Amino acid sequence: MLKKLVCRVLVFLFMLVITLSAGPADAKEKLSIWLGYGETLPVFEMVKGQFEKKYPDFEVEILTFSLRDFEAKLASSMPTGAGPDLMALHDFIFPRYYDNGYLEPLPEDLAAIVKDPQKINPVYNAVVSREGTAHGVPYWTGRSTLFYNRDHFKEAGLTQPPKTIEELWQYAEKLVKKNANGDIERAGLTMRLTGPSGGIQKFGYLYYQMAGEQIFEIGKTPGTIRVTLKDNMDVAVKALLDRINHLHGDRKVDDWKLKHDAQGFSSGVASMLLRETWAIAFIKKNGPNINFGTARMPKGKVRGAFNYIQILSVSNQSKVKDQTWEFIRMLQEQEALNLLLKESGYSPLREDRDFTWFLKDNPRYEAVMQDIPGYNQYLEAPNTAYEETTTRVGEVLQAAYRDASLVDNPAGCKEVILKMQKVAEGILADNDSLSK
Amino acid sequence: MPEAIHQKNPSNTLAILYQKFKNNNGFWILAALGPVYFLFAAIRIYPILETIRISFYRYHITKKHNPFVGLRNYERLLGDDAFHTALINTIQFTVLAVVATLFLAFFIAILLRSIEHVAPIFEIIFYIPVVTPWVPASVIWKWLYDPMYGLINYVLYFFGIPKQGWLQEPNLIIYAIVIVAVWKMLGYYIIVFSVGLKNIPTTYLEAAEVDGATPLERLRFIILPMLKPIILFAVVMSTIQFFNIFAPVYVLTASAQGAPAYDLKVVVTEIYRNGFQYYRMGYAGAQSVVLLVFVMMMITLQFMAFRKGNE
Amino acid sequence: MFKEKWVKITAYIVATVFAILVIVPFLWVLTTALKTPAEISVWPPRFLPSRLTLENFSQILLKEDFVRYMLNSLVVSLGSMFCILLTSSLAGFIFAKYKFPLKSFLFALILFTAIIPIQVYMIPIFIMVFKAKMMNTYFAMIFPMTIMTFGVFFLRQNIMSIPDSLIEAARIDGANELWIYFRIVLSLSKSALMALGIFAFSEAWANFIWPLVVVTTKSMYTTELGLAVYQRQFYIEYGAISAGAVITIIPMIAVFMILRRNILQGVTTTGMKT
Repeated sequence: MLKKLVCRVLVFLFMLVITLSAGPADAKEKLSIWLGYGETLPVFEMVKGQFEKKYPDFEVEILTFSLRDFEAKLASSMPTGAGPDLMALHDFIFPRYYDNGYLEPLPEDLAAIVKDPQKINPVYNAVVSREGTAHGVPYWTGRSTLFYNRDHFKEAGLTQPPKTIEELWQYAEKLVKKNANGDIERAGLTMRLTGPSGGIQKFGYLYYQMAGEQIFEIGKTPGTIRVTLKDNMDVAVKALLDRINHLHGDRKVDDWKLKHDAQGFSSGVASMLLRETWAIAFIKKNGPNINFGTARMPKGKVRGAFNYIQILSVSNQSKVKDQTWEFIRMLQEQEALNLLLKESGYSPLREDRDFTWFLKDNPRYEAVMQDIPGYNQYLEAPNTAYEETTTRVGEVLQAAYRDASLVDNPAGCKEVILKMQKVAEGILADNDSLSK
Repeated sequence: MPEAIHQKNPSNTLAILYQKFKNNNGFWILAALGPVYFLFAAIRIYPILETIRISFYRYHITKKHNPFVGLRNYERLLGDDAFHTALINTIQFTVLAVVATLFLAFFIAILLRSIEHVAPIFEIIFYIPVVTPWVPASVIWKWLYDPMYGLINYVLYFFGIPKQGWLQEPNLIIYAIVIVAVWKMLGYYIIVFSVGLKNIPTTYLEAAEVDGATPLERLRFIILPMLKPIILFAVVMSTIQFFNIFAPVYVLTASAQGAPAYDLKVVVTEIYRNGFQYYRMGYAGAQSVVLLVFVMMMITLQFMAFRKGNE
Repeated sequence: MFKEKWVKITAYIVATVFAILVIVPFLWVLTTALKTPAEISVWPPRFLPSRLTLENFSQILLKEDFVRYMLNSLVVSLGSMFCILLTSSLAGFIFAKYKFPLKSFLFALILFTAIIPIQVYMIPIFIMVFKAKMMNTYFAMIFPMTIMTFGVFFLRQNIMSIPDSLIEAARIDGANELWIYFRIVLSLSKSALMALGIFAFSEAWANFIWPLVVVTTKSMYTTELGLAVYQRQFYIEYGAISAGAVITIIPMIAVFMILRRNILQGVTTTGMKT
């Protein structure tokens, strides 16, 4: 009994000692970097090596997080000053920190690069500098594209990927495979049927082509959002009908029980997929036997690819701002961008750098890297209520997908669209970001 | 003389109180409970009061200006369908999970005490899920439930039953998550009950056996009554735990691409979403207050039910 | 507890059936940890891997400072466990065996604080820790886990079963309260303490959200933070996550086995035989 007591006291003292001992004294200055995308880590590690050689008094520490964790961590760290020096922000997180004044404006040379249309497409500049001053450097983009299984296409007698939205649905009907019980074994087109924001985002891919604008567009004044569903009611109803008609009855091309998305495509249970750049590497790795090709988004009224970008920003509470900008400059060098492309497949956003070497070996990336006339690149409008609007509106949409009474029912679909409009406007108004 | 004794002298009452204090171990109670309570105050009570305070504001930590809005968050709650659904789902889930877990745990704990020599092996097996962190456990279950590649559907397929969308069908998913919750916590409650059972003196049971009582009678008249405090603990604690369920719901309903899932809402996922994704911490605070009041009521009822049984 | 034969047979059958049901998912975790990515998504699902591979484990263990992460987790979990045992047994004892004004109210208050999950109230604690400049210290990581409502409640219920007569006898013999706490209460609550200890340890180990916000440097990462990286942006690396789960569970089971001997040592005592 006494032995136990002594044991406990010793352990307690041990704990006390450890607890009170702070970390080793900091010999070097620290530059901390936080990333949301682990695939890009090798690039940062490489530049870290170069940076530390150039500035031997500095130690660079890189932390990576999954997106959700990243958001929670930033939200608790930035306001209390515990944040990093360099942040790699997703474009929909960016407005939140931009609006509340946590980001440092770009130094002259970098600002000049970002403003230069020969170096960076103005579409991206608009996102990082709402009132004319850039607060971040657009780094890389993932773009939406069409994936199709060449073997399935051959089997169905199709020679080329669909070029228009009508063709897309026709092909899907031809490619779907059912078993003896009538259950779907292979989806003609694998659709995003569940949330959170994925549901509305993927719906928006086709809506954009058909309407010429996104569901959420930049409003009349900077910082506001306009919900365009009501203005494009016929198009919206048609887009919804397309989906619902193909989810029920004999035109069914997809089912909730199938494996979906890139994983489904890699397992061969989907013939077509609309997804972004990262899926190319994913399918190659997880479905090595899948003979697939990529093509640009099918055409509606317009034709364009959805972009989500990563932005490099410096915290205005950073104590080593100049060195952080140095790090960013180093990331923009050809060698670093090459590595980025090679490791993650994401397209660097510098138009003045050369990436043809990559396309030669990876022709599938052509659809997401080469710009052709008539093909737009578009981004989501900066929306501080992004998560809430997309999730809540997405919920309405997903409930509609399950509703068989909406098949061939334009009036019913109109109701759904109006509800989506109302929910979105309600949230935006509450956030003071609804366009007047 | 009576008048002298009843003289209300201030120093007298103080002295009487002090005497009472010393007689009832006042110093010891303060010294032992004081620091512990201080920790509770700092780590739980103060932050929770803060949360309640925030519920009257429109608040997010990244914003510079957080205005006072009075009861507006609470008004919003009244019209929030998502929250109502979450509340109903959570109640349903909690009832199912508490009943299933505790019945099974009690049943198994009693049985194990009769095969004491091999009991340790079983206990370790049942305890493994308890020490597996929620997130990896949920990820694995998400995969077991996979409609196309999951083990569960494979076993059903073997028996000729068609594949089910465990996480896709709105009416199946709640049972799917209850199973995960029971799997995870069963071992813990088996230990809880076992510790309680161990404290029942064997002499009572032996005496009853000699008197001719059947096992079931011994159970009803000796074991259950003596186990009441532990059972109360188990009921209250499991109610709180399951009402607060977060990780498995979060993981299993996350539509990670490839595995669509029905978005079953529960209270804590709504609170988390509102606080950390929609940036409405004040509103999340209000939802937390509702959660607090709700569970407080349930616990009070449970305590009252057990106290009544004691009389 | 029951000597009847039919009870024993039922016990064997029931326990075995449930043990199998409970262990199958874990075996799945184990076998998945040993499979290659391609084999993981195959239909029909194969239980045993055709090709054993340790790449999932090596991916995790050899990467960076995983051993350091385990050490951090160990320090934090042990620290939390001891604090919880101390605070719970003291408070549990006071609430179980003493009378004082407002006792019910104070106990109810403690109970109610368990209702709100940490995600909700962690921001104020975070601010406290940050203002005290204690970020990234073991102290900060352990601080919110020094108390556990369940612990106080559990120990109270268990201590209530200690006969008052025993304590009174000790008092009459001249023992002070501290002696009673150490010699009587603690030794008679051994099983409850061990059970609580393991639970507290595993809760502290599995804690994710708090270390996530309070740690900003890799050298202080816990294993859970280190493993979170494998829940990638758009897909989940099942192999790595399974290997991570196995790595996490092994120390827990070790702790459990060490303490288990003390939890449920057969013979019960009536307490009157001292």
